[in-house]
Amino acid sequence: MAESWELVFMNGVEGFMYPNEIELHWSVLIVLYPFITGLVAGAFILASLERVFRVEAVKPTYRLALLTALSFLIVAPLPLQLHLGHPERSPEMYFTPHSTSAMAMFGYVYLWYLMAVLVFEIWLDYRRDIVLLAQRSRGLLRLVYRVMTLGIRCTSTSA
Amino acid sequence: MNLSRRQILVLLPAAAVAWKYVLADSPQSAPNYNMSDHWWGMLIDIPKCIGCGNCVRACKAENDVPDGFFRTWVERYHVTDGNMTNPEVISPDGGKEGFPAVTEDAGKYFYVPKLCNHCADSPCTQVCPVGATFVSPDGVVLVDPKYCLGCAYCVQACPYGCRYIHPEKKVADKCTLCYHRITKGLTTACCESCPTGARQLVDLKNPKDPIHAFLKTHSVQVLKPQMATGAKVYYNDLDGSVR
Repeated sequence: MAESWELVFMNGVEGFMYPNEIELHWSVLIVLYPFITGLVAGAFILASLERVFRVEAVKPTYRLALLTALSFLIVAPLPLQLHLGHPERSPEMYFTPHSTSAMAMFGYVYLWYLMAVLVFEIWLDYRRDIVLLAQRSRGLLRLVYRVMTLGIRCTSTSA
Repeated sequence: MNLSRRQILVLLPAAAVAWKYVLADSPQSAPNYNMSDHWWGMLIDIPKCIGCGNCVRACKAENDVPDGFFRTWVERYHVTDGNMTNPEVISPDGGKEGFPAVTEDAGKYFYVPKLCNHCADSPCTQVCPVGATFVSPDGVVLVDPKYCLGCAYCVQACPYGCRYIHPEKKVADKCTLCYHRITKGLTTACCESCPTGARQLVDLKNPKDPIHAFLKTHSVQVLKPQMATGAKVYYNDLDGSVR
């Protein structure tokens, strides 16, 4: 039973927890997630400083900040997946979401952020590089780059 | 069959949705039980509870509840005069083996059996990301173990602490109001085993159920009424110090 040093206050009750709540289900793995998304937010702010607020001093960090944000965002669901009892069922949050659940609805916000903001913004910034890479590489990689350029081969600034 | 890219883009998600329907199958038929005829709840008579722990043991036996977790448990409150806001509460192993002898004579002692309140407006069903936990049409909050992700959001959301994650199945688990028994006309395992009749299953939609007469003549409360969960476990003579 709850030892007396477990002074959990339940509206004035000392040293008592509901028996099912003695084992914490949301612990360190859940805590890691906001830490990593905090890093994402910080990196994205750095990138936005350059583009949106036109702070010249951080100009060299633009690409690195975006790539940092993207890589952390891809990794952030990993502690959440490890926490789940059935991680193989987690895509069901996207296919059959429960509309009153904040967790399910935020899954879509996360996906939007990952796709629209980061992947799209990075693709937009790397367009010229991808065209050049498409010309220089061979085989499957060349095909991948060709798809990413959507077939365009011109490298002028207006393209 | 020559399909254009546009046709494939439309057919593929349609096929995925259709496949989900095939997998979902139809619900099991139950010719002798009509869900819309029932609205289940429970009545717990505090003065009658003696803290024997029969209900906790019966539930564990009936439902294979894992060790260390409880679908129902009993708490003992010790309220001394003039100190209603600071009661002393114990629940040794959920009250499964009863309670230790009383050492202090001052104040009053009483037992509060607790379980899932099968809330009509339950916070746990609201937060499930996939809808694996739901309120059945007859008022019982159930978990679909084949769909549950084990995220434990519902465990966090429940204000009464009645849920847990099953250590082997890794899904959310809780009192099912012995659904497999009540749909066959039996009562729950905890009510069946209670020696004093402190726990009684009630069917609020049944006009012949004694709960209706009981509600007219007694004062009943629910746990944490400020949470407005629509809890359906009614306590007779619940002390104000119960949390």
